[in-house]
Amino acid sequence: MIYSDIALDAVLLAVLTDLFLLRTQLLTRGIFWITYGLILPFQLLTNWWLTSKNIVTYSATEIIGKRLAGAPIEDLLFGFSMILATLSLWVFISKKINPGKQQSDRPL
Amino acid sequence: MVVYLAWDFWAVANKNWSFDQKQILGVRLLNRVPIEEVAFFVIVPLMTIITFLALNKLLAKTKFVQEP
Repeated sequence: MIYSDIALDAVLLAVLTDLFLLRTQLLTRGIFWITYGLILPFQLLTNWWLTSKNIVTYSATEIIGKRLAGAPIEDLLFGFSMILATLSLWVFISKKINPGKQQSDRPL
Repeated sequence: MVVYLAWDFWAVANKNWSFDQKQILGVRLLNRVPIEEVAFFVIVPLMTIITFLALNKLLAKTKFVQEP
């Protein structure tokens, strides 16, 4: 269940990056969750398409076995961590380059 | 992106997941990761950021977002 372990670690790492390392605190802002909520259905749709046509196959020994829309539930962790890490880095860099001017600096 | 691509390399090498030969272009980065995967790791973060910025703009016009 290596995929499960790495996926969990990835979420942990992304959360630590957002809250403490870069201090972007996206997890505390509604705008992040709205963004995630908007992306999630499309991730599920893509997962379903990629797995139903057997374009991507997951090794049964590396996942815990629960599936959602065709893909292992670990994929949700992977997707969440990547979205959080991407946005955290983006907000951090845009603050560095353009302090106080970015839309993404605003609360919510 | 680099980090996630590295994870992908590792996962393909260890057969955590695999791709149907007939349904990919067949070009692989360093003989492992299909170029479709590389494109995925470019497009998804890009679309994530665009979604985030669009929502910021959109919600800034409503009372959901206050000026700092």
